[in-house]
Amino acid sequence: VKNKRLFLLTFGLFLAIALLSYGILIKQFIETGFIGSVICLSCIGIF
Amino acid sequence: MFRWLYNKYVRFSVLVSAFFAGNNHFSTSIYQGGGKRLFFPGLNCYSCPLARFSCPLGTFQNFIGIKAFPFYVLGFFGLIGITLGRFVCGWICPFGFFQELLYKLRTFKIRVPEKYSYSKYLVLFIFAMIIPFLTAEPWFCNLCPAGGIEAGIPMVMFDSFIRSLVGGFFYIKIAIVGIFLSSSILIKRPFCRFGCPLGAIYGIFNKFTFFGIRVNENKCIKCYACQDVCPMDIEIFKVPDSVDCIRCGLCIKACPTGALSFKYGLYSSLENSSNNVNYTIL
Repeated sequence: VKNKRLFLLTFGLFLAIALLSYGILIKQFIETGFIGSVICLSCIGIF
Repeated sequence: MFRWLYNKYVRFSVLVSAFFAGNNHFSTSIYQGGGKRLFFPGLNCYSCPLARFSCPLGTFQNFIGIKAFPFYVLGFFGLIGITLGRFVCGWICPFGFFQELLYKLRTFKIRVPEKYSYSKYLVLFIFAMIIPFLTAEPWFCNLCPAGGIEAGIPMVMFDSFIRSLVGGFFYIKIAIVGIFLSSSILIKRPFCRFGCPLGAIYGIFNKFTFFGIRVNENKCIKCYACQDVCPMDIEIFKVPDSVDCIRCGLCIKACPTGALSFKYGLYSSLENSSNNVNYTIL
């Protein structure tokens, strides 16, 4: 059971870091142009 | 292990610090800088005039809406989930803490069975995945009570231009905020348990995360003291890796026999050792 957990956690951690790194590499960030972000007015019911 | 975490003042200090770190309370303008490329681990409406960081759930919906695979945000969910599980909900999220404070008001209380807590997965799939995919709109953000209280209401109150733009949907959002806040007085953390899609995502990792609660079955006398103090109303001695456990540690402090402890690493959540059994029932 411990080995299975170790495998799951190691593989999961590796996958998470890979996804995060690739996301940063392709600059997958939200836009912050108009009032902070592109979807900012959803908080006051305008969309 | 982690005995210093059991102190409620430590948790209170971390929650207050996270609230001030995530939002710039001393600014009069809306922050649009590079900080919004980073995520706040909890719900933190990035449309909030004060927000320093992005909301991971809002960003997730944004990329689903534009039909792009959300690499960055999924990696972030994985990293936080594997290392901490739902620790973020108990130690960082200001909206969760606000509900916890409201529940301290003295009145009659309602206990809702844990089985209904799976409703948050419906909210996740319908409002944060399917509808944003079909409409290209972040529909959970449109309904999010945390965004309403942190961003919507302050913006409408303090900015006359924004006030002039308010649509009819805003009042639906205010009603949702009102429902969750008023029910927080009667029910333990109702939004976190039944409606939060971010908690639903982190909760999946609770089953195998590094950080969790460990139960010594030999010491447990099933007195339910842990459930009574639990802000998520979990029977932690039965399900220490419950999807709802926010790792606040209140149960550890309340346990009269010392059967509960924090664990970090590959330890199992259930311990059967009969060593050092020493009951102190008050």
